[in-house]
Amino acid sequence: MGRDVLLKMEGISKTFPGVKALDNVKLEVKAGTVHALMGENGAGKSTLMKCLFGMYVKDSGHIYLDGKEIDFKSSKEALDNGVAMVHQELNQALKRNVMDNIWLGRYPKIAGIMVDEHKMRQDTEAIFKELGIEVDVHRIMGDMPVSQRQMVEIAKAVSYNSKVIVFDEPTSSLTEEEVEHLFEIINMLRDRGVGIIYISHKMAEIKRISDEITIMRDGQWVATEPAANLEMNDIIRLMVGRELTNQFPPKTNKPGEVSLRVEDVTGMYNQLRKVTFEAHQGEILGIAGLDSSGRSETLESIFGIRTRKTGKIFLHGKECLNRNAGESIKNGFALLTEERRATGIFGGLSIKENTVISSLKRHKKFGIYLSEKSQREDTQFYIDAMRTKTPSQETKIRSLSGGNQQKVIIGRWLLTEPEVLLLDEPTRGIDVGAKYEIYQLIIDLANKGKTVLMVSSEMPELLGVCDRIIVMSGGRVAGEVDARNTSQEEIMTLAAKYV
Amino acid sequence: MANPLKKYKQVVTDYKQMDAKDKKRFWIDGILNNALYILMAIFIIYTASVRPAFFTLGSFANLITQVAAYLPMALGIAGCIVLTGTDLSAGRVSGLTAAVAAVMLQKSDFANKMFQNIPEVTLGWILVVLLGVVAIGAIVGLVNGFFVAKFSLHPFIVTLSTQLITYGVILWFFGLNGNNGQPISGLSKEYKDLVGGEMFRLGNVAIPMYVLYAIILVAVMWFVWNKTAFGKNMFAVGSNAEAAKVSGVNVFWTTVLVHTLAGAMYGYAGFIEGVRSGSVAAATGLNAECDAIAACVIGGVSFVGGTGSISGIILGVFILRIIFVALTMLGVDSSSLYIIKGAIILCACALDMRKYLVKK
Amino acid sequence: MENKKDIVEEISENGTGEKQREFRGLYKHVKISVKTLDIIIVTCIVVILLVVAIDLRNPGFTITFDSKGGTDVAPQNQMYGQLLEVPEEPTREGYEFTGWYVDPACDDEWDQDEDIIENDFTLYAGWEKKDSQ
Repeated sequence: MGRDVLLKMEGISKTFPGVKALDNVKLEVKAGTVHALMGENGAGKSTLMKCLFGMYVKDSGHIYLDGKEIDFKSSKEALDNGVAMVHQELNQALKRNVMDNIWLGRYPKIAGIMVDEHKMRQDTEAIFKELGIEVDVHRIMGDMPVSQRQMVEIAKAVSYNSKVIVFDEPTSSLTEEEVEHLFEIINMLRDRGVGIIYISHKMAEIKRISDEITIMRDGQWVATEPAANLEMNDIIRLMVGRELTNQFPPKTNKPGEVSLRVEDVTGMYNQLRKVTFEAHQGEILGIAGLDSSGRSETLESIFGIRTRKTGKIFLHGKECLNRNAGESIKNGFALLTEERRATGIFGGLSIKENTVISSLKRHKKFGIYLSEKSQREDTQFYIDAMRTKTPSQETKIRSLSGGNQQKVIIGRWLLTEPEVLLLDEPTRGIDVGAKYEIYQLIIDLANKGKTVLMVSSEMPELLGVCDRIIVMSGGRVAGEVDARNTSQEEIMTLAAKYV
Repeated sequence: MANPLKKYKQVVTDYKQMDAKDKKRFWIDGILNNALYILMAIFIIYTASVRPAFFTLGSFANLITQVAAYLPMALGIAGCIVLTGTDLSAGRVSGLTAAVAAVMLQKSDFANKMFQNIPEVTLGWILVVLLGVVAIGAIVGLVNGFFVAKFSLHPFIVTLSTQLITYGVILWFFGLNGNNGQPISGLSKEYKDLVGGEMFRLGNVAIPMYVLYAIILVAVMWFVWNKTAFGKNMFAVGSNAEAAKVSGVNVFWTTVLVHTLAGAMYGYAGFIEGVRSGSVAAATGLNAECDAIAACVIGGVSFVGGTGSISGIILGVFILRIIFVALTMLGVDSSSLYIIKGAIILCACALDMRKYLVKK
Repeated sequence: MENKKDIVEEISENGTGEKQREFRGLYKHVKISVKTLDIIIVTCIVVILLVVAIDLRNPGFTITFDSKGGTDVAPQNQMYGQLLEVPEEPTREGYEFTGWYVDPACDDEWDQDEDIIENDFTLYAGWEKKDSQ
């Protein structure tokens, strides 16, 4: 199209301890185009944007805006220079009205002290009219639906005369009608010469709205193509296409009889609806789906840390109430949570304390006293069994790498002698070598006759480790596939069924 | 690396390898991180040079006695701090239990006795009263714990409320039987002897019985913190409540129990305080929680939660007491002591954060 | 310890900055730099020393006397660890002075030869009704 390049990022790299999040990534956004940024979860899209807005400090690389090199320290600085972002989670002052939110931090003033309400209202209304937004400027932010709040966010970006606007999953909470309106606004902005970066999972949207597409995978740039040249299948192939050889240990487990039956689980405070499935002894059952499709909620509902409205859980034909974590542990369940740092580890406590916390009963002597010796033995057993790399049992878990932390937590759960292991993203934030060890561990557990449920957003992982895969979509079970003869495309299609 | 000598040698070799800038940083870090110890050292040296009496056996005995008196409350409140909370009701609760204990254990022939028909003070009766006041403290703690755990209210708010409520009860109690808010005195000899009676003398100063009790209490609390499931759960909840919940720890009961145990400690502290001050007034125990909180924070029971040790608490109480004994000997006014206490708490919190931020 | 690289601090997996650790607990929302903390610490220490220094220009404790209806007795200023200077006895119409007491109920008498001054405090006068002949 021969338009000017507005924003240019090149050679961007960023390393977190143990993980290379971005590796020499490039991105070029031309003025007056919509540029889609695509990739699986964890491909590095958000990290790249955070580097642009100064929320992360990039390790290397350069960013140019209009040919000038820039290095923003904060999103405020970016905004002042004409780079705005419409967030997935809206950062707004919910108790204030629309005008306040738009002009926050730069109120027009009279005589330098008094806020010029009149000018503020006029300016706001002018912008709203321009964008075709019908919102009362005096409404309190918290009282408005998300879609309108998003409009206000866009108006704010426009009010800064932004040259580049980033939309991060803007349609995730909008109705179809609202999406149409959003696209109108995006088109209008494009016609005015704004460069738009559009991040989304939704293929159909991307095809409709974007002019160019950049695809990322595993923190690396994969391709940048005009949207017209790419078919949906090409995009999927580029997003997920990685070599599968030797990433996974050989599958040796043999599924046996049905052990776990989940019937009609509906969530009290979440989107789960009538989730029903069965899992066998010695089987690894994968649960796939997009973010917020209810994968984690399913596991957490089974484990009883989320309230169920209806639904029954049977283990070996016996009903388990599983009203709280303590009861579930007694019934032979174990849950490895998704957010290791938030709900998994006790950062300030030692490996030993982290290992024994769920199985303190095993160490009780005389009904009250906890035997130090048996605690040490158990901890050492699992350090050896999992080949956890740690200087000592007394080391604080915080100072271990992600993979080793995960091993400690798996050890914690194995000490409770569970029948059913619920693993939520067991390899998140873990480097490739350690991933292999975790896979091996999961297969070993299935070999011992345990039932393993595994949630993952990395599809190759599910295909490589699981026997069967349940695909969830919009809080419902969208379908079930045999991991041996299915494809990522089939799963992707199912995952989009109820979106 | 547990060997302190080895550790010291390591530090020395590390230091030699540093360049000038790092060396400067090393000293600044060292001075700031140990600011309170240095402050204590300054006070000790200055006081010792001006008041020779400071470095005597008697003065040391006085210090031990004070530590034994302030320790129970600190041991109790430390549990709340481990849970990332705090307890502002501690002082008032000990004031209330001190008053109850004093009234129940007045001399039988004392003229201004509040209740005439109280049994003769015997060892058995004293123990009954002790259990009673500990129970009163525990009940207040239970209320604190319940509201903190069930409503997820911040402990500041909950304990501030119970502090006020307890104070109201104290005032009401002092108005009973036409007492009209007069301090309660005339404690029976048996009570005084059992708590404050002389164990042995150090220098010229008697070491009272409650020093022994404090030692027993420390042993019990050490056991509870380190060797019981309750203790482990407490640290787990303080370290990461969400993870504790997932791990099957009953967060609700742990929180309630920690507060209840703390309340029981305040109850005991009040029982001791009655004898220590000779008479109990409505203001007894006022702001005592500030001393306890300051001692805990100085002793490394961090507001970050999930960290702390019994030995740290003892050290904290010692440091705080040494500073105050020194200042009292110098003749610093008690109103100034409040300012100093406040500054010490702020300083200890800043140090606490600093250690957390620059930890390698 | 052979694999040192594997034992690294996991600080910013989903954190915000490079070296910045996240506070937890009571400090959850605190955002503060080490430099600011240093300033606070130094300020606190200076305040403490200043208060002590100011106070030491006029050290000692004040002992006030509550004569409980008798003639007023002037307060005294004494240093730590000293004995009380015996004040002149107050007088009261129709009563006889029985001594100075620590508590207002006049139960615990101040021993002028043994008790030493450790703090600010008030002594209360004890009175006994004279036999009105």
